[in-house]
Amino acid sequence: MRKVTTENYSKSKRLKNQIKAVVTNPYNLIVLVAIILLAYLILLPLLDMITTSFTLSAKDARRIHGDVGQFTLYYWQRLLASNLSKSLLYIPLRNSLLIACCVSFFAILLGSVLAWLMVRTDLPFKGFFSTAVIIPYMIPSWCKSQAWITMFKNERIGGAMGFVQGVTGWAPPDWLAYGPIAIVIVLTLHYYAYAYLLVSAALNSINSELEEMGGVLGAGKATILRRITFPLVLPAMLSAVILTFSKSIGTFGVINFLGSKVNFSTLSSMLYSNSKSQNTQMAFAMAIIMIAIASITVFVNQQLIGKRKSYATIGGKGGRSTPISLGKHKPIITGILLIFFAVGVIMPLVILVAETFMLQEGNWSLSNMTLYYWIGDGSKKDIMEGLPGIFRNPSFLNALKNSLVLTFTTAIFGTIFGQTAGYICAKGRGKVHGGIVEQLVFIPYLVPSIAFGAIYLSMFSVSHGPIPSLYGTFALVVLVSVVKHLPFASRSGTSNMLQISGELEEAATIEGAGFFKRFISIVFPLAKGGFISGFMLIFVSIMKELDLIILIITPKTATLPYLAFQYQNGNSTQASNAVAVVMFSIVFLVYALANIFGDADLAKSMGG
Amino acid sequence: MFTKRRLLAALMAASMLASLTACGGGDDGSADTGSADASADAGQTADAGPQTVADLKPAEADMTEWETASGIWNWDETEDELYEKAKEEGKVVLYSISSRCTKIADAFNEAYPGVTCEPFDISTNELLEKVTREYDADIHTADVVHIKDQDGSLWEEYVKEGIFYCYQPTDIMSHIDPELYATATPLYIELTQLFYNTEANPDGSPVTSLWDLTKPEWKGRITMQNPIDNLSWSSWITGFTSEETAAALEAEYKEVFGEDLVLSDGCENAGYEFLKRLHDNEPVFCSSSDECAESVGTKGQANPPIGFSASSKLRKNKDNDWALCPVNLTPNTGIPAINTLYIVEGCEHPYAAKLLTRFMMGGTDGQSKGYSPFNTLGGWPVRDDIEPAEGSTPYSEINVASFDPTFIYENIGIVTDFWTMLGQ
Amino acid sequence: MSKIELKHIDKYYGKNHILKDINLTIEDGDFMTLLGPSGCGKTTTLRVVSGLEKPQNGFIYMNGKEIVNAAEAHFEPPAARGLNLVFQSYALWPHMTVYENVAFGLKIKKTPKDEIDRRVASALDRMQIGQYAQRYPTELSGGQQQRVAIARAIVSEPSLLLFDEPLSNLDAKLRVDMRSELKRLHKETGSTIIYVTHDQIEALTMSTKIAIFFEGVLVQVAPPLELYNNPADLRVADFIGNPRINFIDGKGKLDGKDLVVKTVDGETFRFASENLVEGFRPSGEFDAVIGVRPEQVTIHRTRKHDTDVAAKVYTVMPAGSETIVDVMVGKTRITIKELGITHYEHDDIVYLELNPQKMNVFDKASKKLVKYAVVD
Repeated sequence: MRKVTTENYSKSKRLKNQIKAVVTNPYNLIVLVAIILLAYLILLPLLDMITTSFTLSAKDARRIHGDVGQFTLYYWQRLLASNLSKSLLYIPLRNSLLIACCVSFFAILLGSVLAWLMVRTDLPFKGFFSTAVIIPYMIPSWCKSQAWITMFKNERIGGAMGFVQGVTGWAPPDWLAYGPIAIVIVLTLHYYAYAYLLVSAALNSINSELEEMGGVLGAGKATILRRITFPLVLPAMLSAVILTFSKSIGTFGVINFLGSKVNFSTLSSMLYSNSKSQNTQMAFAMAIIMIAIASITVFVNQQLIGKRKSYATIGGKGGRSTPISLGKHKPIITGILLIFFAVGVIMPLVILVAETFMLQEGNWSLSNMTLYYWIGDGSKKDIMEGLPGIFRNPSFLNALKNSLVLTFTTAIFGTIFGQTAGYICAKGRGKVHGGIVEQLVFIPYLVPSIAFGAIYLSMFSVSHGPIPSLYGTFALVVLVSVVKHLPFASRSGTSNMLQISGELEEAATIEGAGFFKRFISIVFPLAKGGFISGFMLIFVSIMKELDLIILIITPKTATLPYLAFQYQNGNSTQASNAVAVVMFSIVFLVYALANIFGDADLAKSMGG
Repeated sequence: MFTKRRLLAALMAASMLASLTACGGGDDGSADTGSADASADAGQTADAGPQTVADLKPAEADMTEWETASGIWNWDETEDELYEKAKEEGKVVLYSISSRCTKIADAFNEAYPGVTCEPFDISTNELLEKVTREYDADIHTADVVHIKDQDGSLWEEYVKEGIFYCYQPTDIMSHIDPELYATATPLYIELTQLFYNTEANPDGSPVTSLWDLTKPEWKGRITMQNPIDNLSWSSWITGFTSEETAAALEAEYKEVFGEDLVLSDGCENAGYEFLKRLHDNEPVFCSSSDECAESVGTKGQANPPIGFSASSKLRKNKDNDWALCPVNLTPNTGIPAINTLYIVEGCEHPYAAKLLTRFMMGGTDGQSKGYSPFNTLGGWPVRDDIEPAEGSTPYSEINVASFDPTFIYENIGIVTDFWTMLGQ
Repeated sequence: MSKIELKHIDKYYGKNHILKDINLTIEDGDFMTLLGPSGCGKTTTLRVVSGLEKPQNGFIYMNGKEIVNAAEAHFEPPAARGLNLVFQSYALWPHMTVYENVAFGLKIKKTPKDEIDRRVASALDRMQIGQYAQRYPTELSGGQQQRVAIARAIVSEPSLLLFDEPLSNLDAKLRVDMRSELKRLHKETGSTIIYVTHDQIEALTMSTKIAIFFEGVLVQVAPPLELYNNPADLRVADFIGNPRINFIDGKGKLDGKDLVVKTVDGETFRFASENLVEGFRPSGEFDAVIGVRPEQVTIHRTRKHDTDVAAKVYTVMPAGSETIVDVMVGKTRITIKELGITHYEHDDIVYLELNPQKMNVFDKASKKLVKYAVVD
């Protein structure tokens, strides 16, 4: 019965047809190009990083009698098993894990509770709260640490008095002003936004009938919350854990501001030190360890989420939701929230803005107020060495231009690449190429920002074949930003593309529409909302990006966060804050516009 | 879990102790001993090799084509001669670590019409990275490089290797201490100085000796930058371990405490001992030199810290309404940071580069506008015919250790590791 | 005008063998329904014909022209096959109006504007949705969307129309209306139709031929009534017909040329030799299954013939035009369909008249039909 007729079977014809089929299908070409590009931009840097950590540098060759470029275990031995290991690795590692665990815990707790209150209960002023709640996400974390220092600084680091001490006369103790507790609080206030966005999206997708059913069966509010709601949003919470964990492992700005005062170092600050003192090899070895930690977290998380992943879609249509009454606790909870937002969100923002008007830092008298840092003409030679206010300062205007160009180009390219990768992942689900692309785009997620910048710096500062040396060019900053944000962008692309049923495209195939026609007239118009959300996600992230590009930036290619950081280091807090305020305004404006004109949804594009 | 962690900690402590003794006793078996050998070896080769820039000068016949064409070893041309040839070249590119380089360029362009100076203000790491990458790729953008040889690597790896040239015009050098121009062409000197707040200490500095900093009353009250973050600070702490400074520190100890210094385990000399005790006193690490200066200098503090900072911050004293005052520490304030000038091998505008070098160094009479932007408080001219900025303490009156690039080059890794280990 | 031949089609998804050596010929003008439970491969077959899936083995010819030759990796693109497809989900593009949805294919073929207008209008009119041309799909009801999807498929006047469970998302009443409309469409256009469904009523009422699939295997191809009367095996028999066919286990053996089956409950049936499947020669006794359709059993309150079988009423389910009566014969339950409304009490004793002519007999071991039913 099963005999394949071989009468007109010709191998050459088969080959010809196969090649023709592959070559004439643009999808295949796009997949091929994508895989090659991703391998080049992600895998190669990773390999480069690994090999570099085994290669002896000129600097160390003089110390250990080796030849430059020879294979060596020197760095790994030094890092893992030498008398320096404790300072170089173990203590920073312990600190990193401590910070990451605490921040993850508190940020998820805070974010989830806020999300629940906002989505599920009859909390008043929801409009105000829901805007206020994502503001911290738009302010760079080191700005917040700056605000923290302004508030709580004590005699230890000298200088002007902190706000608290100035007003109350009480000097905050070191453990509150600097170090791990301060870091955890600042980072928690920064990263809870992730948990909030993810959990509120999950809560929104749960049909309240599920909860009501529990009520019908006689379960009390607490039981419903614990036994029904909580397990349903658990996958979203776990997703937020990875996000928060890997972000706080890789963050540097806050550690630098709040940790160095008490000699508190983490892996990321060690990596920064080593990178800055030209110990590239050590820096890379540390980065590899950080990647390993992030990988383990993701792996454990996947094991934990496991089958639960599918929960997220349960009752996906359940828009109908009956808010749970807070009852007599309502005023108390509202009050606590108002205080929280006043202290945690509004206050840092107000301090940030207020400081830009102070001629002399820390002097809160009205006569000290000025617009000099904004529009000063540089006539006061004793302020910032005679540099004019930021709006008259060419380096600010240059950084503003750079930042806008960077965020828009990165967001545009990142969105295009991300959505394309998402398209491949969605269409290639369960197929080899889809798997490869999905794995590849995930890697940058695991590499800490600062390490990622370091790899790109070393890899692209020499020319590779047709690609010239990109050192010091703007293209490199764009490239590293695009690639680093691919995991997010492609995740948002995948979830976006999965929403478009394959049949819609097939219907067009039947009508004779080719790949590009399909993409332009079917896929793109349908995915537009997702495009905008993905764009916003990258935009917000890049606008305040510092960790990633700090090693790559040169004065010509400086961006606003870098300028703010420089001003801060150059002790011009006011100018630094003014720059930060400009950044925040841009982000907020673009976010508002995207919300009004496109149905951008940050949570959706994070893709759970 | 807990017991495991304790075991690990115990193991680490044990290995640390073992290696510390190994380090101190000069035993074999650790990376640090290896480097100690390396330094000994390198020391020998250094003895045999060139000691000064002048030693590098080849015989006329051995000169490369570029050396001959550029006349890079001809130190006797006048500015007029150079200007004539520079006009043919048309321009000169300056890579500088100072933001003041734009002022220099403006002044140069005014003084020498027909030759355009293009300045690039880049930070030290990036400057070296950039110039090295360009040199390796045969791109000759930079003509003159203004940088600091913080750890001796410029002398060892660039000048000795013939990548950078030190142009040392005879007439200008006659005004400079030969020790200063042995391994580089010096531009001006900066220091890492200890500052105190005059408002809180109207009677003068609360400390006078380095050893004062190790006293308990200064615990957690000293600001500085973390040497492991930063090359210039790591070379600065390395300077204390030199034989000369260590001996001075040992004598100073007796002066301050009235007893002989007993070295701790793992401390080879009084320099290491000082660093250990300084570290034990928990200095507060700032993220920038400015922050250190601000923390000390801000007025209105009841109990301000003291702190190390770049001497150049003194010029911001008035601007920021600070009350900074430097301390002339005994036995010394550490090694100086000498700003230096190099001409890059194979550069396209060698005559303009030589002209710019002369211009930046003050020209024939020391009066050129190429130097004046550098002549500020906290920076000291190297020439004896240039007056330091008004209000400066004369350089000769400041206790400064001598800068031996070869010593720093060979020991910076060891000392940095030593410092890192103290953090444990 | 289209004749489709599928030869030795194999389709795998990874290691899953979805279509197993499918051979099927669809004559020009056929309304061929692919029928089977979900996951049997019927939709896959449709997609292979449409060109959306590529089989790993086999050939497909369209009017004698090779459009698929898996061995040579030759696959004609879908648009070159002169067919169109109506999806189960309708797959209407939500961002285009009804007009734009229908006109899309014509635009791609660069049809002149006025020609497009004319043909779209005609297709919409034929589906009676002309007035919705400028609406968006979301503004239409399910039934109207369905009509748009069909209009989109017929606007290019394809010689082959493919339907993938098109009515499964409609409510019961609409479904019946659409059925007759589709049947009429088939008559009027004369195009060949391949229609996938798991609903046997749809299959039986509309098709000229039904191809029935189980687990990736094409089991039987036959006109609807033939399929109903003489299912090729037990599974088909069980699948087709509502209420389900009655199965009575027994032992069969040849008695002369006739087949005699003795049921587990002790009844004996004799089947004439001329109705036996050609070449059926069992050696000795074999396990047999008698299949009898519920409407082929006549129920009497009193014994009318000697051969009548006594039974006890189990349940009675009147449904207006018909009444379904379940009775127990020994331990076997038999379902009987009577026209009109009849009344029985539980546990009444009744007598069943069974005509061996109108029964099927299957070989239990091979599951194959061994005796045809002859229905007038």
